[in-house]
Amino acid sequence: MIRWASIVFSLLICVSLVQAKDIPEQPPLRVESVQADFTQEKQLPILARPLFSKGRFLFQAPDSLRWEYFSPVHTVLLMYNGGICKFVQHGDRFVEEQGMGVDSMHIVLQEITGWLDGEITDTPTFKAHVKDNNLIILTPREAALANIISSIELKLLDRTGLMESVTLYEGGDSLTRMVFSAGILNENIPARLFTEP
Amino acid sequence: MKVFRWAMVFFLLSSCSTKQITGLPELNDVNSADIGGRQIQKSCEHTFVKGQYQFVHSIVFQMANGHGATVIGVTVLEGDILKTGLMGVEGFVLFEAVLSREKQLEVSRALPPFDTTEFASGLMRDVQAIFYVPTDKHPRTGKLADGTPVCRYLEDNDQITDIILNVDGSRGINVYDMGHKKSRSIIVGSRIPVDGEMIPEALELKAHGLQGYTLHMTLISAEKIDK
Repeated sequence: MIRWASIVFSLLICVSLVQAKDIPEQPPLRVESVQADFTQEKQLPILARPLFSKGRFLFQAPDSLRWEYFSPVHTVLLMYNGGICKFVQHGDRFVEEQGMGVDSMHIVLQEITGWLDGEITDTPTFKAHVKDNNLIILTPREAALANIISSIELKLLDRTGLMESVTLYEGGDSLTRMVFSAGILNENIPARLFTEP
Repeated sequence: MKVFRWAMVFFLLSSCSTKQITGLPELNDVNSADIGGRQIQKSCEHTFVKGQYQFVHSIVFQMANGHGATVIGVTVLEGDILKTGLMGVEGFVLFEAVLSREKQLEVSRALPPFDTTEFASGLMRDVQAIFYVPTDKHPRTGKLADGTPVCRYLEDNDQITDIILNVDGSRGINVYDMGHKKSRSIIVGSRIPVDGEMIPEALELKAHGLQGYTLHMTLISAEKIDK
């Protein structure tokens, strides 16, 4: 479970990097950093109403990451210098939770590196199909993963090269949609944001 | 000296045992047909919400060995139909199931380590204990030795559920197995009004036994869905 969850997680990270990729008719852009707010919508067959989360995503090449949810539960996932840790806010303090192992971290880094190299069509995990320049559809290569994620849609903002949304279809009527806003490329991010919750 | 030592051992053992009372406590009956008994029963039933609701909780799951994790729990009450789901904070669904009106459990998604039959049935039992009034229509009503009012429900499978009306307004739910050993204890925290029903802001469920665990549930949202 942890492995697949981390693949999904790494994918969500990586797809955010697509915003800087060389989409047709635009020059390639080297990604040094990415910052964006996001709103996440969750739909499940059992839900009478969808669930919404809000957060912020920070990435600094080559391998620093901060994936933070402000609501409904304040959590921070950090990757820095080969280490990964997750914190959950309890009251007025953050408590570290164990969960992702070293294997998961390697998968995450592998995916990120692949995307930074512009290998959209060549990740070991997903096949990519570009549609209408602004829409990329990813489908899992392995049947085991396909049982959990049927496909992923990456929607790019027209011409800007920024990501508009990511929709992860989990089969049936289940999906997770993340809509990005206030995206910033290649601006300096203080290192402490990748080491402290 | 030897006598003193044995007395000390006996004293320590007896003091330990008084801290671990997990059996069914004595109940001094209050006739449920009397006004007092009816009031107690009514208050017990008010521990549970009526109507159709969707609840979202953050759940801190803690195993007896100290390991644990935080997940998001979804509970949808649609009359006799109970839907429940667990997902990671990032939204990835770990477990999803529906308990039908006929009490048939249909699990549509279950990822390791939540993919065992025991987990599914145990989780649904826990959720039912938290959100559904027990099925016994004629519970015993009475008071514990300290005077705390209690409703005692006997289920078809000889399981017993006590609803405890604490003086401070909080509620407790204790579930005993057929051997009268406590299997679950639930603390229902302070409650807030949502669409005419009082909804607990916090719940704590403790599963007793060798593979015991504790769920600390904090309400994120409660929505009435049958408006």
